[in-house]
Amino acid sequence: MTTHVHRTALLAVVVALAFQVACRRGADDAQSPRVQHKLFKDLKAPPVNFPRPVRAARDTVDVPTSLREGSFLILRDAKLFEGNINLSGQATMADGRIEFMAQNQSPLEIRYRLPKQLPSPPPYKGIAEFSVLDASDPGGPDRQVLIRSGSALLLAAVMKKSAEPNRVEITPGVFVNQSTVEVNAKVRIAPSRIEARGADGTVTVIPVGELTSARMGGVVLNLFITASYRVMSAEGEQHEGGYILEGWAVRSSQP
Amino acid sequence: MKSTRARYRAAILVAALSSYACSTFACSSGPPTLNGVVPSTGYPRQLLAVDGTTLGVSVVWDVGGTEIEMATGLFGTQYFQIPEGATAGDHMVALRNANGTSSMATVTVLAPAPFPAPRIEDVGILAMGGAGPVDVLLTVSAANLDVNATVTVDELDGEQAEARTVGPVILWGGLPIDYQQAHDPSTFGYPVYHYAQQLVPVEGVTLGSRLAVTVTNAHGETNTFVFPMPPSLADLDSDGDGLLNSWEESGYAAPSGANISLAALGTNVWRKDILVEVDHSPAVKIHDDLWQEVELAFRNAPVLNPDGSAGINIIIDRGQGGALTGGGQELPDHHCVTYADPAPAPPLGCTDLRSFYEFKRDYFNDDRLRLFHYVVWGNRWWEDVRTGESERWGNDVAVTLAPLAAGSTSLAAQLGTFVHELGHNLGLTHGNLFDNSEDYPLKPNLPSVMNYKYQLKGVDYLNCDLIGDGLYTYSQGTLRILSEPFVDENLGVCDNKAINLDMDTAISAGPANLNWIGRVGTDADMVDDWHDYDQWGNLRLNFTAVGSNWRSN
Repeated sequence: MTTHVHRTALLAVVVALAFQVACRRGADDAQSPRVQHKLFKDLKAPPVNFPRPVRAARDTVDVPTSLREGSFLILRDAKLFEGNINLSGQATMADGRIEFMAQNQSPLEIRYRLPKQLPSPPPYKGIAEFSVLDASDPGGPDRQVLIRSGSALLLAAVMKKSAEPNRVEITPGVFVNQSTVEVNAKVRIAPSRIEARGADGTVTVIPVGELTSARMGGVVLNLFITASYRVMSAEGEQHEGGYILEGWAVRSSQP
Repeated sequence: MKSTRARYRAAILVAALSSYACSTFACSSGPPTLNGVVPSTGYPRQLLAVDGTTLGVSVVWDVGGTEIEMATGLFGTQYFQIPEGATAGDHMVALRNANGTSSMATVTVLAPAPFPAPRIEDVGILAMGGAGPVDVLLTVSAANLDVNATVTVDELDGEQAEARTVGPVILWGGLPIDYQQAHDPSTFGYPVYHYAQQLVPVEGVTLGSRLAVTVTNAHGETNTFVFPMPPSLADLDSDGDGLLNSWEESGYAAPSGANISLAALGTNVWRKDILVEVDHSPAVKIHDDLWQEVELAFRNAPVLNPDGSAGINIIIDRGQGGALTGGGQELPDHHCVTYADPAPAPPLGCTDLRSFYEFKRDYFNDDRLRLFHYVVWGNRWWEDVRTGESERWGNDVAVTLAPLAAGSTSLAAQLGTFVHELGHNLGLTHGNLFDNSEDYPLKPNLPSVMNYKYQLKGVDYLNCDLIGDGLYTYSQGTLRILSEPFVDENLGVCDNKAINLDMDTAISAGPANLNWIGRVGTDADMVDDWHDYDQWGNLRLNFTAVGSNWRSN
C-alpha cells in the first residue's frame, strides 16, 4: 500500500514536472523572469511589426464620357494629358473637338464644352499653334489653353487664381486684364472689372456672364467670362484668397 | 543501484510525458526557428525585427565568434538593436533558448551614421489600478529609442508634484524603418532608424495631473513629453484617439438614447481609430480603389499603439454594410458648397450653392457627432477653385475636386486630397503642425500630402528630387532645416542631390526664396528658416478636446 502511494505520488510529480518543462516557453504567460511587476500580469505578447511596405498607389484615371459645361480635357494616346506644351501642327476643329497633329509627336485630342451662352466657333482645318500652360496646384488652378492660327485666335480657355490681378495674352498683343479691387473682412468677395485690350490699343470691357464680341487680332472674337473676382480667406480657412479668372474666347463665324 | 535505475526511469518518463504534453498542448520544446531578420541590412543601433520564434528567446549576435546575447522584450526577443560597435559587413545572427540555437541569418551592417536623440511620439495607458493615486502602466513610444533606454516620470501638478516611482522598464513594441538604408543619413536633419516603445509602470499617480515623461538613451541623450492623465477612470482613453475606453468596451450612449457599439464598427481600445462618414454629390465618381488605398495609408502609419501594434485603424463608412450603413449616400445635385449656414446667394462663378451643414443635418446621424468625421464629397468650393476645405482640428471635411476637371476622377487626386483634407481635421496645416507659423503650402523640405507640391502626386521618397513618387503620407520630420539666407542648391534637401530650389535658371549657393514667388499663399522674402515637422507623431485625433475647432456640430 505504502509503495503504491509512493509510486502514485512520484507519477504525479513526474507529470507535473513534464508539463512544466514542456510548456515553460510556449504559453502567453511566459514573461521574462528578469522583469516582473504587478501591472504586467495580464499582458499578452504584442505582435511583431515589420517595416511597412512602401508602395506607390496606381495613378489611374477614368476618362470622363461627358463634360460639364465650361470644361475641357486634353488626351494624348487616349490618356489624360497633364503638363505644358507649345507646338505647331495641323489642327482640325469641329463639334467640341480638336484634333492636333505635330511632327514627331503623338496626336492630341482636345474635348471641350463651351458655356451655353457662347456660340460654337466655325469649323477649322489647317496650320495652328497649340499651347498649354498649367501651373495649377490644389490651392487653385493656373491653367490656360490657347489655339491660334497665326495671330488669329481659334479658342482660348483660361482658369487662373493669382495673388495679383490676372493678365493673359490670348493672342499676340491682345490681353485680357483684371482690375485691382479691395476686399476686407466685411466684404470678402468683390468683382474685378475685366477688359480685353487689343494690339492697337482698343479696349473692350467684358461684363461677367455676358457674351461680348470684339474684333481683335484680325478676327472677331466671342468672349465670355464666367468668373472674375477677388476673394479674401475667412478666419480659420486653410487657403489664401486671390484673384479668380475663368473665361473663354473663341473665333466668331463673322468675317 | 536501485535508486539510480529509478531516477533513470523517471527521466525517461519525464521526457515521454513532456513530448506528449507538447503535442497535446501545442507548445514547443525544440530550439527556436529563425526565418530571417527584417530588415536584413542596417546601421549600428538600428532596431531589427525577428521573423521566427520570439517567445522566450534571446538573439545571438556574431554566432560562432565573439558572441553577444541580447534579450529585450517582456515575453522574448521580438526586436533587437545592431550592437553599436558592430563593424561594417556581414554578421551571423541566431536565436537561442534553453533547447538550443536556431539556424543563422545574415545581417549586413552599414558604416556608422549619425544617431540622433530620441523623440517621444506618443504615451498611452495600457493598464491602470487603484482608486486614489493610481498605479499606471504607460507605453512610451519614441523615434530612435534605445531598447535599454531609461525612463523617468515626474508629476508636475498638485501636492504630489515630484518624481514618481517607476518600476522595471522593458521593451514592448517596435517598428523598424528601412528608409535610411537607401539614403545618406548624414544629409538628413533627423534620420529615423526605428520607433520603439517601452512599458513603464508608474506608482502613485494623481488622476488629472500632468506627467513629464523623460526617456534617456544609452549615451545620455534625452527627450521629455508632457502627458495629461485622465481626470477620472471614466475618462480613460488608453490609445488617445478620442474614443473613451468605456465607449469602445461597452458602447457609446448617444444623445438619442441609442447605444452605438464601437466594437461592431471595428474599433479597438488599444489601437488608434479614426471614424469617418462620407456622402457624395451625384456628379462625383469615387475611384473603385480609393478606400482601400486610404486604409492602407493609415495602416502603414509609423505610429505605435498601446498594444504594441503599428498603424492607425481608419474606418470609413461609405455605406458598405454591416454596422456601416450611414455613409455612401448621394446628396442632392448642386454646383457649389459652403460652410455658411444657411447658404448665402450664390457668388460669382457659382450656381446652386448649398450649405455643408444643410447636408449634414439631412444625411448625418447626430448620434455620431462626437465619434465621426463627416465628409461631403462635393463639386466645387463656393468662393474659389480650391480642392477642398476642412476644419483644422475638427470633424468637418469638404472635398471639391471640380477644379481638376477630368483629373478629379484620378485615384491620385482623390487619394491625395482626401488624406490632405482629413489631415486638417487631424490638426495639420500645409506647412507645419497645428501652429500657424510656417503655414506655407510649398515648402521644399516637407514631404507630406499636406504640402501642395505633393498632394496630387504623393511625396518624394525615392531620390530627393522633389518629384512626387506616389506615396500618400504625412511627414515624419526627417529633413534638415533650409535657411533662406544660406541656401546651397548643390546639396539640395537630402542625399546631396543638387536641386534648383528657387526655381531660377541655375544651381547656385547663396540667399534664395524657397517658398516660391508668385503662387497664392507663398512668402516672397529670403529671410526664413523652413523646417520639416513630425506630423505623424503629432496628429490630434481627439477632435472634441478642449482647444479644438469642433463646434458641437
